[in-house]
Amino acid sequence: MKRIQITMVLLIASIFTAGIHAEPARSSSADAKRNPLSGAKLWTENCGNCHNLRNPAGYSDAQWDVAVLHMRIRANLTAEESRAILDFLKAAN
Amino acid sequence: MKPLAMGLGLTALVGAAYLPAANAQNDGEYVSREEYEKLKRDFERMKAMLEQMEKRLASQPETGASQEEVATVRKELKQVKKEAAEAKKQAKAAMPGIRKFLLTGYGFAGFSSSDLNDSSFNVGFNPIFLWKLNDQIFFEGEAEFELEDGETNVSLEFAQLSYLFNDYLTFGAGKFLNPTNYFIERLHPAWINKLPDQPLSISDANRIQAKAVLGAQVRGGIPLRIIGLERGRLGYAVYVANGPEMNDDGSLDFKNYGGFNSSKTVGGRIGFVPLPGFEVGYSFEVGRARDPYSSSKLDFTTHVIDANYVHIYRAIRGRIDLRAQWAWRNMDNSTGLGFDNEVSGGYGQIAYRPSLAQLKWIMDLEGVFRFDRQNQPNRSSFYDENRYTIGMNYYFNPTTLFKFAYEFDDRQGAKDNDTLLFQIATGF
Repeated sequence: MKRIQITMVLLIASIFTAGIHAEPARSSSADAKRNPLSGAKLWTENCGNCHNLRNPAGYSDAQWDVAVLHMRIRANLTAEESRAILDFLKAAN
Repeated sequence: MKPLAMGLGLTALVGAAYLPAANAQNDGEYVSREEYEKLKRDFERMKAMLEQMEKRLASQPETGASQEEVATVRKELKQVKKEAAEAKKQAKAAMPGIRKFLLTGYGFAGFSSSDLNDSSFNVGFNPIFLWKLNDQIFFEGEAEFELEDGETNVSLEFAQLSYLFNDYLTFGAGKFLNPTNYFIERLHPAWINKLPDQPLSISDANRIQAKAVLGAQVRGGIPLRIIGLERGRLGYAVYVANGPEMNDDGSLDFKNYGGFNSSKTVGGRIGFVPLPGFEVGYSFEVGRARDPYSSSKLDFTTHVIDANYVHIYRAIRGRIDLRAQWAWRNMDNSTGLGFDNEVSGGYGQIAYRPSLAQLKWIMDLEGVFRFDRQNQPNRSSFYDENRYTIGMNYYFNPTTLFKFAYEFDDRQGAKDNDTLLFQIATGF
């Protein structure tokens, strides 16, 4: 049992390491530096972290208002992240 | 326009001046002094209005427009007014009002065949109702319809009213998904879960944590910029909920919706998101379970760690999705059980989707592997179990997929139960 626990801890640690290791490629993005709160970028990075991205045209502005608030609460998104995502979705639908 | 306006003005003036006199003649009587004075005042007033109108018309520039052109413009103006009124009517009909509503959710149908159970089809339908009453008040509720034992069972998955105090703190009360169980809160819907079933530690008979709890919580997301970091986020959730009851076999019954245990469970999770697509979290739960063998309560503490990483690598032309969650629970000994009631378990999962491939049908494929482990108390009626699941998915669209999976089961002290699973799921 101890061995399994150690294996799982190592697995989680390896995911952490993979995440740290992959960052330099992303942080070099000029776009990210120029506009860290780009709605489109935040949409793919946060919403796409759990599920495939829905077509922005699938919902009206009013419906995105509701959906984004729902996900802000569920995924503990920051208020400014959710506002930027909402602005993007309203512009793209 | 000028001749027409003048004509109308004159007609009105003459009409106004002439009509009372005609009435008087019809009566066959002379007008009185008072009536004369009134008519005189009316006349003077109408005369002043006419002079005013003439001055206004004189001050307007000559357009040189013909009668036909004026008529055409008026006709077009009338049409524009009509269309504007219609557009306004349509826009109003489409406006949701202040209270905004969204019906979303998911449904699935599947088939399973295992060594120890009869093969069977299964189906489920989970509508989710969301209301945004205003910028601060939000309600969410999910119903679950499932076929079980020849009947349709309906249950309330969650129903929570939230109030957003500010950008960093939201209060919620009701029945809500356990915020310390990442898989349940974020990944369990059938169109999101990459395999047809859930990990052992999440759905096993002696599961470690509750899927949903009845109580209240505070939660939110804090940008790490406020402590000087360039990016990142800290998510948190703390809840208090009805405590569980221990069953005769040592497992916990978390469905305390009637208050059979007055002790409350307190739990919380901190999720650290230092980079996009990467989150690591730690959760805890402490509480007191009712002991069926005595009048006492049994203290328990649960710890959970989870890690999640999603990234597109151009080198392998696709997306890697890594998930891991491990939980362990310590609990006071019950005199009636005769064993240390400690459980632990979790899963690790990797999925790869060649999302940057050239061919669309290859882009829509996804391979999945999951390892499950559940450690049960020694000498209990439960058994330790390892499970290895391989799966292949095909996405018809971003929220609709077909899943195929095969589970290689390895139970210690019990017969293995290898299982073949199919499922089609959609999120709407």
